[in-house]
Amino acid sequence: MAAWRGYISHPLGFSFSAPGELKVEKGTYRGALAGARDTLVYSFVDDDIEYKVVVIDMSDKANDAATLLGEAEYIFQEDKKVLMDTFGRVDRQFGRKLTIDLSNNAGRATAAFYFINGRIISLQATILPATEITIPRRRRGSSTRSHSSRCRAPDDAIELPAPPK
Amino acid sequence: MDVSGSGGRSSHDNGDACAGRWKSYINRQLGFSFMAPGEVKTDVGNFRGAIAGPRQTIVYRSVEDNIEYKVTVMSFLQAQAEGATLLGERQYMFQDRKTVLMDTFSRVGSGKDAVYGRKIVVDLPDNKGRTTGVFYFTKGRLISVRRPCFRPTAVLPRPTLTVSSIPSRSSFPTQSRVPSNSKPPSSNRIPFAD
Repeated sequence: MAAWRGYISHPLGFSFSAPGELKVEKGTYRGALAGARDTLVYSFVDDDIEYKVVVIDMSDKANDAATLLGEAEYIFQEDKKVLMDTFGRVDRQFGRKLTIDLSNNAGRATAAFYFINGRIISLQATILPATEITIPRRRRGSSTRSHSSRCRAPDDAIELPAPPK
Repeated sequence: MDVSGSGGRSSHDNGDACAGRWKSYINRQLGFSFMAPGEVKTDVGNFRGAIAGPRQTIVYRSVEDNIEYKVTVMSFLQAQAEGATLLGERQYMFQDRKTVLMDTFSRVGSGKDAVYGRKIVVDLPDNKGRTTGVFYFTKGRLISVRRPCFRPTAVLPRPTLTVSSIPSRSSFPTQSRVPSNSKPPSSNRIPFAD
């Protein structure tokens, strides 16, 4: 198992911890309300668990924050078996945490959703099907950081790189 | 946005003797409508949240059969981008230290007009009854619909309407937006609380 390291993005206003090698990718997201969006994905794989932090820029529709976040949460669990759906809170940010079983025995995923500074931040961990599921593993130390609140990122947190052009 | 289905109106009420007593109410300025039984009284109230801070609320209240139906509106026009957190805080406070019986997605409208919120059913402490709360944040306003049951003998709450749980998108009933230039038959304009 790889060591967990802290990562932080001052421009995006959040931090998290994850194991393994960091990859920065681009992705897409589509919601009826949000429309089609490019996403920025920080991903890691360790011990047959895929960790992803997905950032979706919604700054042009930030006034619809609550509904956009609700839509993202709904899409995540749509047509899946929901094992947990509860409040998620980091500092002053209220969000939600959901755990689902993926379709076709594709594994189990836990995700937390927050809306921070005009962006949806989703921290996801997916246990790949090769892994025997006993107790759902939880992401360790994931946190969001807003500029106005106390930073809980470790002192040696690595600044996240800019997205690929 | 028609939040009537989210409120207390029971699907069992459709077509029964009670149905005739339900009336539509609309507030065009605040951009929502709802249905409630009996006479609706408008009042002002207060709310305080750690994030929301102290807020004055507009409360629309209707009582029938010992059941109080309440729609509360709070304005956050200057903090719309904080809507997700403000809504989350409101929902959290509603269920804090209570037994949560249900906490699920709620949606009014569909497609680009959809407004996502949550519907929560809790048992109040000390056997004080069961309360359903539905919460939305739209157009800078936090709208909550509550229907407490004050009867200690109540076994089950009346099942609440339509926009509650979302088993699947296809089966989700559409709550249509109130047209801006028309109002539903027999709907009543709800006054503002100054």
